[in-house]
Amino acid sequence: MNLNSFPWLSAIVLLPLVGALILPFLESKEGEDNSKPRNISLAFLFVDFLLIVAVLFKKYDPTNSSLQLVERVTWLPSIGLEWSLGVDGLSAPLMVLSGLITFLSAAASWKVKKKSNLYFGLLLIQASAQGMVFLSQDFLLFFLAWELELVPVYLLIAIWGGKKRLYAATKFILYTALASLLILISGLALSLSGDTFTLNISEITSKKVTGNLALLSYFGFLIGFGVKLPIFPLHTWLPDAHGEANAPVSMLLAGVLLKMGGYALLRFNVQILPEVHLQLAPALIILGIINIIYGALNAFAQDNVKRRIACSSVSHMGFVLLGIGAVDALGISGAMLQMISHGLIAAAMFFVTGSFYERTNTLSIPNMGGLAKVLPITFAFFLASSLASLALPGMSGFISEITVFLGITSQEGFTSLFRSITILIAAIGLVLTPIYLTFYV
Amino acid sequence: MCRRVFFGPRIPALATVAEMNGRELTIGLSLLLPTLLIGFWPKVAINLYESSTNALSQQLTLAKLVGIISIFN
Repeated sequence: MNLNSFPWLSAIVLLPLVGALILPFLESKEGEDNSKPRNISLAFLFVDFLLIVAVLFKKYDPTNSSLQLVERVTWLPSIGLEWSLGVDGLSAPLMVLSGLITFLSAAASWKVKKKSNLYFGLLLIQASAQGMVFLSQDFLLFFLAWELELVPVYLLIAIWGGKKRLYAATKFILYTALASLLILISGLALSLSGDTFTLNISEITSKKVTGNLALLSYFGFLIGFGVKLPIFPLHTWLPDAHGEANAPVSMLLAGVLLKMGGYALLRFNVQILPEVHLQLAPALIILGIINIIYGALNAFAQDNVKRRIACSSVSHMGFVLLGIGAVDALGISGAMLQMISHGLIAAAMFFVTGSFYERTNTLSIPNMGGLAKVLPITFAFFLASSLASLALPGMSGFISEITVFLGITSQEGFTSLFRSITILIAAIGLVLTPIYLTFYV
Repeated sequence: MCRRVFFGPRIPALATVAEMNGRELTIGLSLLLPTLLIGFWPKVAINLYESSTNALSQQLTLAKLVGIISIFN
């Protein structure tokens, strides 16, 4: 077989799905033994992660900014749908992140015994859908993947969540499904505009749509993807979903799902509509500042450990908005790095929270105390992830947030007053993080 | 949060809970070690995407230029 023409990206996307097809045929031992579905899903996700790393290492050239390993197969010619995958610098790091986090979240689900076949099957479907979101180069395929990925997350929250799981899952699906409608309308409007109809993202980009249509589509995308990121005031599903989901699903939510919002903002709003983006960049920066401060202040009010970390996520994702709004190389690079770094750190925090919740059965901060003597390793680990989250120098959060700051200061397009106020307020947000993570009750 | 949970008044019901096991420690470390790696050697991550984000920002400056020209026309 010719290894150069082998569809590696399709293999990455479809491999977990193959695993998901095996699981329903396993004999289910409800509530007793989950070793079979668990080990199968772990094996598939591990091989998938290795495949992602190997393909990116061997076949992908990071010095080339264009799309690589492109695969285009006409799927439904009557509506122009193509199975079109490709990888570039925007998708490559997020693929590695998504592969790692999904594998680790399956490993963190070691003790899930309730309907284990379904649980691990949903994790595998989720892995496929995520890969498709990050790799898809066809708008409709991207949209299908974006919708497909909602179903496993909804079920994972609704079946394996906490007491108010149905409320949280319904809120999640309502927010994201309504937002998807705007994404679909904006994307189709751009596909239909001009002389030719095309769903291919690079071909839509080369149409260079301008005027009111571009402006309206930009807003559609911003609201649609803003729900996922999440942007204030569309963030309210996040603390509920995190508060009710079990720890592995929270790892997926924080580690991968929020990054889809940032990725899609870069891919659609910045890449397809650069002119509108330049006009609205200050608005994005203001939204980012609100996210940083509002998320941090919200975190103070939470008694539940996971809800507090969720609000801290809202605050940290504000830096992604700041970086994207800075519209220069440093800012966008900082936004990418912040997505990677927050994915790792938030997943670590949710994971350690889940591990002591399994033992203490409480997430309420006032109900806990004096655990440092009983759980010294957990304490060290939790403290280390908190330090990472508050951007301690030497950890990834520091590099990404300082890059975003530099990106904004070096953007000559903004007045110096605007830049200094932005930096000042964002810095206040940075100071608030250590307070609510470590000292404040 | 850390202060209250780990140093606050001892809760008798939580006096005997078990420590993280080896599997959990491995999962945790595989998340924290990459953050340290990126923190000390950010090139590992930046190399993966830098050319694309640079191209994206290049496109933005081009768009800016086009915008100015269209005003003068």
